[in-house]
Amino acid sequence: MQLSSVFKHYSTGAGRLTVLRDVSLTIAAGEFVSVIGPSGSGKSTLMHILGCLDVPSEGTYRFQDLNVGTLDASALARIRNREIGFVFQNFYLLPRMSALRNVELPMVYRGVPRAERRRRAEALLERVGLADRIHHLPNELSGGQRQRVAIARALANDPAVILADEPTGALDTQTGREIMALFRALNEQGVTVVVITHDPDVARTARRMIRLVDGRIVSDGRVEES
Amino acid sequence: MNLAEMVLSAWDALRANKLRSVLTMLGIWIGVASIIAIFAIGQGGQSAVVSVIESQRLQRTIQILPREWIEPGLPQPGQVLSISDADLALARSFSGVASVGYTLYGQGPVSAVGHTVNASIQAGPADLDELARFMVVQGRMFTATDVVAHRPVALVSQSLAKKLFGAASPVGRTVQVGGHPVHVIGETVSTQLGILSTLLGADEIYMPATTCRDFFPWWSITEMDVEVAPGVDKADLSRRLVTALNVRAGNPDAFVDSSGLWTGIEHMVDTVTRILTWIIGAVAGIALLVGGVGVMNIMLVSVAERTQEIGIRASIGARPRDILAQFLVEAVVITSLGGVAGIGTGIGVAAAVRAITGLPVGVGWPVVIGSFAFSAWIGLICGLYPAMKAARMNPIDALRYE
Ligand SMILES: Nc1ncnc2c1ncn2[C@@H]1O[C@H](COP(=O)(O)OP(=O)(O)OP(=O)(O)O)[C@@H](O)[C@H]1O
Ligand SMILES: [Mg+2]
Repeated sequence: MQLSSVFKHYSTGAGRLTVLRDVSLTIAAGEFVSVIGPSGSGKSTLMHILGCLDVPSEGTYRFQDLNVGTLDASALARIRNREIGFVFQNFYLLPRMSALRNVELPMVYRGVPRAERRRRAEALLERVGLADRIHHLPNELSGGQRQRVAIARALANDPAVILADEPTGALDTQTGREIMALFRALNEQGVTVVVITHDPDVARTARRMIRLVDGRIVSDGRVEES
Repeated sequence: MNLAEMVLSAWDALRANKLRSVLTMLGIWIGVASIIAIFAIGQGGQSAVVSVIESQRLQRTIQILPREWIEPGLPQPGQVLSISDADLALARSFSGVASVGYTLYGQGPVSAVGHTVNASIQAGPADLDELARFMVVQGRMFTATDVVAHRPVALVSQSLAKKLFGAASPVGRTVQVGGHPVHVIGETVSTQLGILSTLLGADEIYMPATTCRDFFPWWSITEMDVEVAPGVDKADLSRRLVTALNVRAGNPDAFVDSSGLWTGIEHMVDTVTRILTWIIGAVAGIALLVGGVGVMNIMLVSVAERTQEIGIRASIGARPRDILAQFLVEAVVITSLGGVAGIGTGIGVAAAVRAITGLPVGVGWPVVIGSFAFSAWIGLICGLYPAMKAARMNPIDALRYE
């Protein structure tokens, strides 16, 4: 994933708002990166661009050697479906669907046959420790359990990249630690993981930390093992 | 995503909002039900009328009446009020005439088991059923032999039968007509003027012309029924016959051929039914249109409400066409369900009308399939714009929508 001189502007009632300024960044396959910065610094915006949910206003973004700016909505959807798994701060599960069906959904859009889909969704939920909750609706689950469902869903199509926006924001320290351990385990299996957070402790779980202030990268470096 | 899955998930979405879904369906439901019922009833009424017009026997019969019966006027010299045996003999002498019958008509008391009803009495040849436009629903019509033999047999209309015998079958019972015992051999319903006369339910009794003349020798013959031999020009024969009868009566306007008149009335009724069918059909069509607009409105609301869902689906890889298909299928499922409910209701109404009026009301497969396809099509058309709106949403804006 490579960003070169990316700017993101929004036009608001008060005029033009620049959220990302001249961001250049390369993330290689298999990295475990955290993005840290104060509220409003543009972390989520950066993640949406990395995840092909949004496009830069200026500059280019290349994902696996594809120039994202030249792709149409269907091609972007295909990338999100197969190569990227999102984990959002507020989970974004579909409220009327059971945990199992939420996890199945990315595979539904990929066209995976029903039986295989079901089997894989069950395996994923078991892996995140929710084997006994697969038929529960999201509102019948705790925050940590919902986040695990979201992670299982992000993993459904075996993505190359996991993008997590404040995955521990709504969780207590203990649960947050468990979730981060899960990401770490995934990274050890070769998945690229990008975690956005404002919590330095969480950020230190990663191997590389990028600090964002006011839409600019102010530091980018390895995290020393403690 | 395959179709079966989309239908299932549409079903889930509709179930999540049961009341709203049913209310949305209502417009289509009512529209389809009225279209089905109206076409069934209209066609039933028409086929009853048309079957009379097209009856073989009527095509070959000239019905001659004194003009005075059709256009009553002041008494005049040379006025003719009835048909005489000499007139009948004159008609029989014409070449091209296969047979000559006559019908009598009058009012008289008919009684049985203590009930007396003032009924209208019609008498004629063995094919009176076609001439007087009724059909036998139970028992049998009287035969040419019954006529020749002056047999005291009769058929009663459903309405008269009910008044005399209640729910019991009139067939095999005896009634008194003008003080004479008559054996009831059949029960009839009118096929005349379709639904109207059925609803009015006239009290009629039908019997052989000969028997009737025996009972009421003072009644005059009001109609001469001339059957035209095969291959003979009916209109020409009718003209010559009427002229000859007029000459005999010494009055150029004494008689008239009423068969054309009947056909005219029936054509008119036919046309009126047809026009009514189309008018009510158009009203039902407007109901469907309004229903369709309702579906569109609700789909727009639903798309707006589910903006975040759309964003979530997009973030995990739903393409614009997947979103489009999802909402289209939902709209089609709503209107199709409405269509199915409407078809059921329409068939029910048609069956009820058949049970009440006895008209040959039926709902054909083409109508059922057509209505179903039409309601699905309404869903497609009315769902298209909301679905396109959903599909065009920017994923990130949709996701951030609160
Ligand atoms: N659609 C939009 N229109 C206008 N402004 C926007 C839009 N999206 C984001 N912004 C602005 O961009 C800035 C950065 O937002 P972003 O969500 O990326 O911040 P963040 O670093 O994730 O903050 P937080 O830690 O609070 O989540 C904010 O000032 C926000 O108001
Ligand atoms: Mg954020």
